[in-house]
Amino acid sequence: MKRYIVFLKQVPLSTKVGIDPVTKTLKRSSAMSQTNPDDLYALQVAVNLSRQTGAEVVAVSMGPASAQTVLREALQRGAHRAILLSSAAFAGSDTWCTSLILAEAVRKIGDYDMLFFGKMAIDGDTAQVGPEVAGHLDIPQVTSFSHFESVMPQGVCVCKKMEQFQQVLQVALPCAIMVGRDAAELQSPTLEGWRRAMQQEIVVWNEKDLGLDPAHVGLMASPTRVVSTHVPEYTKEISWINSGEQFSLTLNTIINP
Amino acid sequence: MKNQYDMIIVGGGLLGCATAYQLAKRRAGNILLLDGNDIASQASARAACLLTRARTKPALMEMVQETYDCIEEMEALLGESLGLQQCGSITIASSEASLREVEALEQAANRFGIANERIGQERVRELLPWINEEAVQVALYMPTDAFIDSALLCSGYAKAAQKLGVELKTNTKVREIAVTADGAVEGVILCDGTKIQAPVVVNAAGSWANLLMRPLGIGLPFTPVRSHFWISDPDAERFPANHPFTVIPDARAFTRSDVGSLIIGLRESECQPFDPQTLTDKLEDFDFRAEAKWKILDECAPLLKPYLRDIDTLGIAHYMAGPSCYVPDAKFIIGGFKQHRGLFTVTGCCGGGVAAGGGMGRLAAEMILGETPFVDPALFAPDRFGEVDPFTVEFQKRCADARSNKKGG
Repeated sequence: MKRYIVFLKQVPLSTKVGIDPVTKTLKRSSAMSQTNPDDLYALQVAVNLSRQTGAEVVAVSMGPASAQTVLREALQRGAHRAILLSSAAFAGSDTWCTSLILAEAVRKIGDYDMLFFGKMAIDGDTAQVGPEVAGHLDIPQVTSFSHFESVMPQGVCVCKKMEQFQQVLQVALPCAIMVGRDAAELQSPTLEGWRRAMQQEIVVWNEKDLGLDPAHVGLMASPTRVVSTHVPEYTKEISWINSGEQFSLTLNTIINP
Repeated sequence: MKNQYDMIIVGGGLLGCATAYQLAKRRAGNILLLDGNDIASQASARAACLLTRARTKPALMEMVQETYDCIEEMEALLGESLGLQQCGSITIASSEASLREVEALEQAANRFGIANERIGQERVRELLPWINEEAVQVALYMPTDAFIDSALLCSGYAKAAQKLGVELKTNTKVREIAVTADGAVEGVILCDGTKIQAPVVVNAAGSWANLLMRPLGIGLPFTPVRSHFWISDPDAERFPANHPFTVIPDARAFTRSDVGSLIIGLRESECQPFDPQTLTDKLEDFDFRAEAKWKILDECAPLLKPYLRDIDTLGIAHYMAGPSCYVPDAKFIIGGFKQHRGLFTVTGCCGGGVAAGGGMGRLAAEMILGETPFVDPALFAPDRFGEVDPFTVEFQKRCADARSNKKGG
């Protein structure tokens, strides 16, 4: 059976998110949340493809119990089943530990063709987790995904968006695909989808289910150390140009410094 | 910004800006309008925008007419359109109870000279391509009803007031209303400690108004209650721009078109009040309880389904929740306070701030200036419920019930 696994993250909705003064991590429990926008596009690409191939779409999220809302949304938007990776042992994991946990979940789900990740999360902005999971699983990965040229039993022909041109790649399955917001048009959710999603069970796995040593995941096992955080300050100099002559002089100064 | 004015208005939403405009029109002196955020950036940007003329309460009809008059005046004053869309409205009845409501509206419209006609199913279908006309027993069409972007209307009041001399100061939060030992108003104190003096202060702070009144020992008889609407995927053929908005009491619903989508307003059986103490400075940071988006739609969809058959499978592109300030009797709060000379309030929109804002501002201005009020102010007296504590769960429930039990859409 074909199987696509889509990873979705719960991220803060508001820009007003507290930062834990000790761990320097986001205090997620204090914030309203949403599904990471890029991840919804990853889900849409997987759901669209599954309509052609008949593949099962499995939605996976790692986080506290509240992350179930992200998975409900995934089910509403077309995922067939959902798995929440949740444990106090996972708390504070950086991208390295997160990707270790996700890779173990992929192994446990098994028999997959493609993994779909959003390009990046709007809270961390690292764009590291998807590529790291592919690395742990030793499978090919495609970043900056544009669209599928063709899908075959053993591989896919993928168009990848580069800055000025496109690259067409022949990629063996299984593989990981990183999806940005220009790769699909999001379909609006429906009430019917919500009703269906509310009736479905969400499976919860912890470190024991995944066979992970708690000492190898979570904040203490994470090699990343956030020393401090600050909001960047942008300053710009503005001056009014009041005449064509002054404009010409200013332009000339810029062109010929 | 000076440190002394004749009047200070706290709140740059529809009611504060409309009051500023009405005061400025009457040459009421040096007026300062303050808002902790930008003009029209909070509840006034989350409204349904319907300007329904016919109401069963005559005073309310006068107040709505005043809003229409203000729009015309302000467009002339500013030399720009405020984007009023005269699309007409259709009130739909499919039960005995709603038929009586339609008849009452019809009589009110006739008394007030508002154009109206009953239309048959075929005409309903022509005007509303999305509707299942077979569910419509009686339809009352009012072709002169309109809607207007509430943020544009609010900005219109503000710009017109500014043009007439009102000073607007945004992103300037008021910490408290200052009073003398004998209770007379002497101005406001900003969050940075700056004191600005004025013998008249108008509290038009909307959902936040009770937080400013609390230190003065005043409880305004309202609480913020969640109201919300859903916006469908665009479908210009089914939801053509400018088709009449509808009020469907049997479905506890209203609809209107917006750039090819259908805006659907629904009222749950038990509306959700919020304690003003829990409000954030900006509504974008306030949790209106996101799960309501689907739970309430699920509750209300069966009522709407006879009219909009595909509500279950209709793509929902957006959802918007906001606070409406509800009063137990669903009437506004406009007036002064005996114990605090110079203190006034205009609040408690009860979901009618867009439609009646011009009239609410007019009544507030007339009362502040001691002019003869154009409608009976006793209907809207702040003390008409006696002493209330708006910070109790019981009182907040009374306010929410006013929305739950509302007649009409």
